[in-house]
Amino acid sequence: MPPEDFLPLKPDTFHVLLVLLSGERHGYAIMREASELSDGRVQIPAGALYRILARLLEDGLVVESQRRPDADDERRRYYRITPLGKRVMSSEAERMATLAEAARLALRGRSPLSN
Amino acid sequence: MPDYGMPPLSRAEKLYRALLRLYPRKFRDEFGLDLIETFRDEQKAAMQSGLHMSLFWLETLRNLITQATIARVSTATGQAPARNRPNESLFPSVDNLLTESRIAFRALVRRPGFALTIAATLALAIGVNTAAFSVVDAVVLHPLQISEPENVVAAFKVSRTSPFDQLSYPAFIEFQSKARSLEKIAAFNSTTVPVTDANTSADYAAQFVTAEYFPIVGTRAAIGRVLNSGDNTDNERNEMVVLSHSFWINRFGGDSAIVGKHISVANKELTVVGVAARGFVGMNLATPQDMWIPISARLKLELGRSTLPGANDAGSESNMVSIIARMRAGATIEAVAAEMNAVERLRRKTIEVASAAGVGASAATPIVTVIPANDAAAAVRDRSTLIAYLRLLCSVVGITLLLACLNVANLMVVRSRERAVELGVRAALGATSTMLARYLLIEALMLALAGGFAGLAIAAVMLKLFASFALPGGIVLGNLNSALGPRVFLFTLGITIVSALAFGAYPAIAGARRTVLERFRSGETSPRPRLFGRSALLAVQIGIALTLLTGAATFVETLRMGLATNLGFDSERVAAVSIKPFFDGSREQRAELYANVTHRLEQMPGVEAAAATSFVPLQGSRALPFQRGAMQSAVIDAEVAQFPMVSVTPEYFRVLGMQIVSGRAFSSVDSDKSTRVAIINESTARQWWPVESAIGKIFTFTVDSDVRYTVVGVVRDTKYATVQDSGVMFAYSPMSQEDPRAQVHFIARTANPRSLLPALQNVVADAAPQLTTIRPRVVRDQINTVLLPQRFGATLLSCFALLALVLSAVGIHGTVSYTVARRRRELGVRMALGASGTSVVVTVLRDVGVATVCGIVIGSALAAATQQLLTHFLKNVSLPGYAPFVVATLLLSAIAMLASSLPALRATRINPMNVIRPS
Repeated sequence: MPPEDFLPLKPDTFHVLLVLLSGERHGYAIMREASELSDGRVQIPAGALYRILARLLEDGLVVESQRRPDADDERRRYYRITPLGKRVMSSEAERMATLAEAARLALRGRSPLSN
Repeated sequence: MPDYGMPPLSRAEKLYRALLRLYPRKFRDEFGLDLIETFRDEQKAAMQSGLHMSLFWLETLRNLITQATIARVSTATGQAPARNRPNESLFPSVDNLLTESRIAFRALVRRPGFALTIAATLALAIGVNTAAFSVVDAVVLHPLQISEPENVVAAFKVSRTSPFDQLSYPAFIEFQSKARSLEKIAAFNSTTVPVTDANTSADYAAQFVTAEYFPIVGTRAAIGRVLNSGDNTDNERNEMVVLSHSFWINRFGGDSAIVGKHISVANKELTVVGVAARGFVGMNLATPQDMWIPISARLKLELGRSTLPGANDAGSESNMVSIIARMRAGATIEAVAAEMNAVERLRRKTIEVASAAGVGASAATPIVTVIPANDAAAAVRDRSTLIAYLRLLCSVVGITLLLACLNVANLMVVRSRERAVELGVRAALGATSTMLARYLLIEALMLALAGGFAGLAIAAVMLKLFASFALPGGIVLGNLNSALGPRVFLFTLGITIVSALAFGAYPAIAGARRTVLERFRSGETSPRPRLFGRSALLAVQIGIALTLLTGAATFVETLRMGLATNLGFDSERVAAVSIKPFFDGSREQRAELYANVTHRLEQMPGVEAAAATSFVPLQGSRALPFQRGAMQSAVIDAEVAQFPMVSVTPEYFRVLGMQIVSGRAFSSVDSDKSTRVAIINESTARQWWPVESAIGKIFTFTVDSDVRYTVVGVVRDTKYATVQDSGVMFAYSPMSQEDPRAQVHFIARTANPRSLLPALQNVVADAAPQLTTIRPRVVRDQINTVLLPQRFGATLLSCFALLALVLSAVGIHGTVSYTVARRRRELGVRMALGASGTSVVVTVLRDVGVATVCGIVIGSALAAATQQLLTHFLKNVSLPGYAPFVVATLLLSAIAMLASSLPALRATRINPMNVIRPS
């Protein structure tokens, strides 16, 4: 599937992938960092997180990592973003940037279409 | 499930793991361990941030239910979980909520019988819970209508008989000047006063308070003002009164111009300065006050002997007052208690009462009790009984709510077969799984809300109905501030939502199990109907019903045993009326009054004997310390005993039909000039003089060695305070030698005591017009008060057991009807192949039979646990063993048979041709 098929991403999904862009994480770390990144605006309950992860795993945007970065954390499962996942995030970022630019122009009184 | 070598789970984690069953199996297998890990992290983070665990669990449960429902529904409908759909939340926007509520409402209106049954069941359960909560709230949680009650304490004297006796006025003065940990301290004293106007005179409860009383209480005035510190200092201008709100409404019709008017209280004109805020009735729930008067004005009222400051004996230790205080900011109750004890110890040392009283010799023993005013407000002397009552009440109503939720869940699941088609259509038309789950939950919530509102109304009605009912400690329900205020409303809303989730979540999840396709199919295609869930619900229901039934039967049996107890005296033929002696006159005048009344009673037709006494059996009496022999001899433990000593006139034993086993009864030779004599009961004689005769022996009042009694008679034991009394020591003294301070009772023996009551009252009123007669009664009726715990339990549990039986019967009937409807074709085929009616009935009843047996097993376990509660509640009562359980089991089995027999019989009348023919 081309990356565009996954767009637009739901805010929760977007934040999960955003966190994973900076490295492998286990479930709770994803929840916490998503919350930090959004100044607490995004709160993903555990059940929702794993449903999102199930979907992302199924779609191949995320894989389970075999590596255990920390010896203490042996029993936890870590998740890693795939190349496809990165491409999806990239497309999404572009889409959002376009929209953001259009909005800024419109706010300044210029038609976004005349550009 | 992959195992990562997880460390042992804590209890919370185990609970969470159990709750994970709400998720679909596939999801659980895949992510169960991760979810537990995450839960552990979240719990740790919550603890670090100082979040209260109950809030943490609330949030966790909310998320769990939301997410599990979404996961279930999306698995069932085969829909992609959460990708690009808006509104992925069970808590929708207002617009959607309105639309969906409208849809749910329409669906409910289409099935009015179903909706009404559920709403009514819930209303009943929510109603009793709301009523129970409002009582608990008004008695224990927020008993006092005062500001910042957590900083207000009550102080008591530790006496030999109770840690909750009143302190003396001199002690109050000392605390006032010396206790640094107190911001304000006040003393007060209560009595009843006659309030007179042109037409009527009636007694009301008045409290005489010191300057700081209202500043401590912090109650504002509804109109006018309350008393302030100035009102007590000026002896010329202290003739004023503050009315309670209800007194103002009931006696003065809420007259808005009452401030400044005069009312006649105990023959003194007092100026009304204001009305206290609504709901404020003083510091004790058992004695709601009608008015408050400056303590310095008390002497001006005609109350007879004053025991209050200002009198000649102002500094006397016998001036008893209640004390409340507001703690200084930052002071703890322990610090206050320590300081007050120290102050009082020092004071007693100074006036050398410590040695005479014999209390607090050791510095470690407290001589002053300090407790929060809230705890002193209700049944301070017998709080554990009160708490046991309330606990039983709460357990029973809680169980009822559980039962109602189970029943409703059962009904919902039974209905979900019809719903399957409806939900299937909605899903096919594009409703997302979340929307379906939300729809089901909204429906449940609407039913619960309907039940909740009706429940509030039911609670209000019940509180009215039980207004005259009294809790232990003499707290009359009607006097409580148990109006349905915001706290009660919130509570009701809370249990409404919880019950909606409790009965709504399971059917929503269970209902969402099927795929869209399956929803369209007829239910009959599945070879074996899934009955497990319903049978389990049924079993739990039967178990609970059995528990309540057993409890009810136990109480009824103890009540029956109590009523059948031989009391040891003749209670059926004795009428009694009480007075509160006034102390205006001399002791001789009082004695003359008592003799006069007794004599007049004896002259009445039909009266065999009459007496005056300070004690009628089956009421409370205080134990006093006595010791065998004269005081001089060395005291050994076996010689000291505490037992009540009551005063009676000579005819007392004859009136009550109590047999003198040896010696003599009192007679006119026992006067205040002759030797002090006593009659003891058999237990006392056995305890102190097991071998020799007790007659002629001496015992002494431990507190005062001059008070020495010679035993002149031994009387048979009776029941004194409870029907379980056995081996209780007891003694009687002649009234001519002992002047009762508290109530005096006149008792008369006659064939028909009930018809004597009005005459009895008249005679007393006639002989002593200045006294008010209290409680005319047949002595036998006092047993009702004594057996109150049994009666309370029997009534309460019987009502709820009946409710449980009805609910179970409905549940069983519904389940069997459902089975029959569902297996019609199968049963038809069986009958066509020659199955007998009996075998059809057996087939149908098998499920219910299994559920009933499981229920009885669950019920026996619960009933055994309940015995624990009952033992605590019915202290000293021998429980009747297994009989109630057996009775309950038989009764419940019979009901189960009866409830299932109708649909089972219907099954035998299925016409095979009708069901086999293709439709």
